[in-house]
Amino acid sequence: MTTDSPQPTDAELVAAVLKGEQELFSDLVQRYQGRLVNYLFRLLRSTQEAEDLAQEVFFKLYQALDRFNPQYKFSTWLFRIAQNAAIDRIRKRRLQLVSMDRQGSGDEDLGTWEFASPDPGPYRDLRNLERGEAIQQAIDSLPWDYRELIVLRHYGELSYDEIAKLKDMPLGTVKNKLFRGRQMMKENLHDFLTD
Amino acid sequence: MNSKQPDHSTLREWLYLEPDGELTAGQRSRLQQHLATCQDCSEEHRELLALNRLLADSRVPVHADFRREVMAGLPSAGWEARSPRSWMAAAVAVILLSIGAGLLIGFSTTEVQSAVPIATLSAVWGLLSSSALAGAGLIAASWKGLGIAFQQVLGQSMWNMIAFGVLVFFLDLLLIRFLLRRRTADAKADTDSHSN
Repeated sequence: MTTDSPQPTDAELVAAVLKGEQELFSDLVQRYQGRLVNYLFRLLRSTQEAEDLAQEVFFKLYQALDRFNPQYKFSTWLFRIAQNAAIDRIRKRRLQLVSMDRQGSGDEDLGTWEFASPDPGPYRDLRNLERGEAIQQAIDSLPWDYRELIVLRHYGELSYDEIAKLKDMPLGTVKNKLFRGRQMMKENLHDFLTD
Repeated sequence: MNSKQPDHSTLREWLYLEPDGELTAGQRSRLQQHLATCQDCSEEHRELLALNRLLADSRVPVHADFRREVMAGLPSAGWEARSPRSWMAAAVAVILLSIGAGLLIGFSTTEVQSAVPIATLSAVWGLLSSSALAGAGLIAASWKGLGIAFQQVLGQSMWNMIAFGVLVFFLDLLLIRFLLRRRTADAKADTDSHSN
């Protein structure tokens, strides 16, 4: 794999790793770490837990790498493993999957990250925090199947086709659910969309 | 859908597909024409783009050492032992060791330098053939010893032989069942992981 050659595909990287170039697994991690951690973060609501689980997902993936079928997309395989791991983790935490009531759950870390906000000012941090909480609340208020699709699209950055394959849904259903999910998000975040 | 003018609800659905690149060029063009004339849709489109930006900006950064930590913590995988590089490394090590041993033996003789390669090959061949012979002898001796033990225990009566035969038969059945279950489990795991 030379640096001036075009970027290898996921399937090519997997094949190279299986042939003994284990260090190339690092490229796959690099490709998907941001999307995976963000996807898990939005479902688990804790950056630390999301990163821990993302590591576990990469470990599982590595151990099962010889079972990867290049006929399918690597991303859908990865997110399927991640989705199962997240659901297991949520079940273990005994969270309600539908209409989550966030009151009284003081152990949740909403991730006080900073937005790349174009309007710096004395209340910038507070505004960012408010926005972060509002987004999480808007996501949490969605019914589970809408929430999953919104998170897969906006944080996992999967295409409609990838989501359809991952969720085993017709493409039309994915489009429809994303359409409705975004309408709900828009209503919930209306105050932040007029800036 | 492409030939006739889409209705308003269809255009509204397109509105949501457009930022994701899910429209054809023709559909995009019709949508743009519609947005230029419909204020409600134009406002909804603006809000949708703002929502997409808001969500994109809310992505959390992954800590800088994440990749290194993943690579450092990778567990061993069953397939690693089957990878060509593993075999190659072992083969190269054996060849180098053999050549080294051969050279040592070759140089220790008083013959001229030109005889070294032949002495090396001869030494390697001698080493391999001795190992093979010793291994074969060990296996043969083990099986022969086992055979003698069985003969002494089972050969005393016909019933002992029959009981032993039945035992072997059931052990075979157990083995076959175990292998079939494992293959089924492997196939199921493959299906589960690729049913996407």
